[in-house]
Amino acid sequence: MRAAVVPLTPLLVRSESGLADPVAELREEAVDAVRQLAEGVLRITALCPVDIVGAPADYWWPSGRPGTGPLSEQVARHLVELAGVDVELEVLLVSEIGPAPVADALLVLGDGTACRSQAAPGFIDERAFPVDDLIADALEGGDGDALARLDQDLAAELLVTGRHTFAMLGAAMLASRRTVDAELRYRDDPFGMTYFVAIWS
Amino acid sequence: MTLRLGRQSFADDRLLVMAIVNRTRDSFYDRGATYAEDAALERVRRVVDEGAEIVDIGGVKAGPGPDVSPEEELRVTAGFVARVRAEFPDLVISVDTWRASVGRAVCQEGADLLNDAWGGHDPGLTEVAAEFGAAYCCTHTAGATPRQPPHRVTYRDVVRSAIDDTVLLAERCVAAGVPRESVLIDPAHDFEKTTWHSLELTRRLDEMVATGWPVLVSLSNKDFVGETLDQPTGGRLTGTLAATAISAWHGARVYRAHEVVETRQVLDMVASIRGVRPPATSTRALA
Repeated sequence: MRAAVVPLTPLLVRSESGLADPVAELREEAVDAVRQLAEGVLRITALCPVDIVGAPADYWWPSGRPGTGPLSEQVARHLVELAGVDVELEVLLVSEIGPAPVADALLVLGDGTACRSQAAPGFIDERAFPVDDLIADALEGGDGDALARLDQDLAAELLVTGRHTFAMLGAAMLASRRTVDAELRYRDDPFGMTYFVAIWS
Repeated sequence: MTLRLGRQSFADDRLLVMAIVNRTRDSFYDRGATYAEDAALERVRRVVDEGAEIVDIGGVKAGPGPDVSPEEELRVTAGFVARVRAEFPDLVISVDTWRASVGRAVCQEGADLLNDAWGGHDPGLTEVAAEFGAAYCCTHTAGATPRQPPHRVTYRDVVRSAIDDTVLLAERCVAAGVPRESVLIDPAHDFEKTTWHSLELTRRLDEMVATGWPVLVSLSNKDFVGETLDQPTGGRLTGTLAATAISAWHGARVYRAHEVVETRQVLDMVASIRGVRPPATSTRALA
């Protein structure tokens, strides 16, 4: 099993941040991760959070860019397009933890906590810091068990959009009964919300 | 339509300045400068002298921050409204609150207008306005919880949403007994909006004006100005005044502002360009 973890911030779509591009490095890492995920596979399965705070089920781009549907799905499709890979994209919309997905290549959409600064979407909550550390350690260490056991209630309070999809990634990895080479390629919180890019292979 | 704000009525060609008077420790622009009651009263004197028709007194910062209980909000607003009323019997006093309990107390002290910055969050506030014959401002916050910042907000059509929500609230006010000529609508720039949304609301403000409800705009030094021009709070006056001019051209009636003199000049200039206000003087080439 191979997986890539990427955020679903609308800022990954270049048009949305105006003249500036505050997430250029993040986008580059996310696109690279998708490219690596797509190597040698015909299909990518995207786990797309939906219907929770931060992951609207219908998203119209504020800039007027055309497109509708779940924000996470639109971001996933955009990253695949930017990666320039010729794969089929299967989308699983995730509003609660579902069965462990079975797929050769999982594209896992999700952000960390959104409560890390006074300007953050969820203001500041000291509990956010250890939760992001836990997720980061799990992504870096290929620790499916830790992701599967993520405290869902706390993660919901801290507006973690990846709380369901990360848990499903963890469950998928446990179900595969294999270890993975894990790499956390990006972690930062430029707007008080943590973004991760990781690749498991 | 003549606009009636408590004890004062204004003809429909009057553009009104509503001066912001924060009784808060932490509002984004003045950062507590008028938290002390005497400092706030001094500001009221100054803005009245500068030509503001309305003062808008607020006891809770709009953005996130330490909790302000209804008791604390009452403590900083009600007594202060009484002091302002005593010194300025004819001034239109607005209070920026979403709480009915606060609305009741300030109306008892002589407030004329309840500026419900959180779009009907407390339905009891409209009843209070009706009971006291106060005016009411209906803002578009898309159901946001007071003081929560916007997060990945989205609209199929932000102007349509603003019109639908504010007009619905306005009609609810009238049904509750608030006089029709005392109800304002406000698209609420930045509230539950991205900068793109606030720009679009400004660009298409004429559509809100076309509803027939008098429109209030609160543009002053807001983030959408800051983001558009990449300016910190102290560098947003020029952008604010540009948005003010466009809003005036589109027909907004009331302008909630920090800088009264500059806002008044822009409104006068736009009114003169429109042809509804003669120049202050015109002797050039007329001798």
